[in-house]
Amino acid sequence: MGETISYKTRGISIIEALVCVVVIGIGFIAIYQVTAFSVASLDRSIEKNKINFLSEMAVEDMLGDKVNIKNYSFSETCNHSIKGASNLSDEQKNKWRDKFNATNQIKINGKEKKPKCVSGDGKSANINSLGTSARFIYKSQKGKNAKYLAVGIK
Amino acid sequence: MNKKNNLGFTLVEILVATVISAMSVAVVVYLYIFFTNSYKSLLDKAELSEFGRSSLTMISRDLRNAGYKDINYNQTWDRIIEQVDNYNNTGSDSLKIWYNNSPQDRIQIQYFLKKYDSGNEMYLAKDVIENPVTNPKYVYCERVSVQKNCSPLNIVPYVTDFQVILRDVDGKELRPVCATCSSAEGKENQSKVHTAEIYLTVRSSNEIYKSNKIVEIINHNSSTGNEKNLEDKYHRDTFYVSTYLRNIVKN
Repeated sequence: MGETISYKTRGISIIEALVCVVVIGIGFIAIYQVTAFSVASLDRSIEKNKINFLSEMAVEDMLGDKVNIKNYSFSETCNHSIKGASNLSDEQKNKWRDKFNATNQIKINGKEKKPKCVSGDGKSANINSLGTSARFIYKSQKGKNAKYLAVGIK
Repeated sequence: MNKKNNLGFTLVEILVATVISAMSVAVVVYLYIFFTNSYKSLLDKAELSEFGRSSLTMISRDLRNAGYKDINYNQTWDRIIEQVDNYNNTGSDSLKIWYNNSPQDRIQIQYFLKKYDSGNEMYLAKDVIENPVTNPKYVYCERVSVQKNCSPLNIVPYVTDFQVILRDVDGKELRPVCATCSSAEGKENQSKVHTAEIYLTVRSSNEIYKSNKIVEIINHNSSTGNEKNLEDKYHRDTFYVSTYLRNIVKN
């Protein structure tokens, strides 16, 4: 009695232990990926908040200058360099460029915290031919996400 | 009898098992710390984002109402909007808005940074007074009817900066803009305000980064030199909103 060890009480071999470690490791890697994805999603969410406010800014500026609404056509990708301004609409568009670049807001380790802008992204303001409606589109995430904001101009 | 099966572990087997176990435990501990920290930082960032979004939406809504005068309101109408630089030595601004919330009632809403009871940390406070001139009544009180324990509402915790820029119809910055001051120019400027820009810099409630970050908060490059420089491990973000003040322009 008890001198032989049955198959059931033999314990696990080193191979089994290693396979187990590898399987658990794969599980942890999966959780790690999910965590990294959540952090990135949250950063994108903060960015989207800012995009909403920036789109609102453009629409509010257009509403504030209804008489010259037709001057507010705008289409730029990622390069928002300040241009010469001879009237209010030009100045407002320069303001947009400034805010799209997050100029003079916050610097971390000497670098400005600019919203991400890559190929496919862009901002555009379209005014209909009668000047009775305006639409602002802010594309981000390689153009995959687009924030549309439209208003009727009385 | 099966002698081979009765043998114990060899030293090499024990050493190999110990090394594998130690490595597994180390990985698990590292991952546990990593996931806990990530979770905390996620919560902090989510909170920061939510506070930034909700507060600026609220301020923007109040700004759109600023200067709204009901057609039946028959009291003196001399208060519309006010901006104060370096309010209470916080290095940040204060914004006051007045408008009718009923034909006979006017409210005064104020946004400003307030220091916590201890330390130098600040929060964005909102204070609302009904009929501030004729029959002042604070709204945020334990018991409003008897005006007991009234204090401003903490709407965003851990705010580093709050700046208000008011511009006229030509996009030029207006200073001063005030209703309760002695400056005639300031009072006159109230009705010239066309657009309001708000910058709000919020920090995470807990430290997120492993090493210190040098943070420079500019929030509008003005002549008042209100830049703030900090060095710590907190995450910070600036939210910006620009609002057209239709009710002031309409009047």
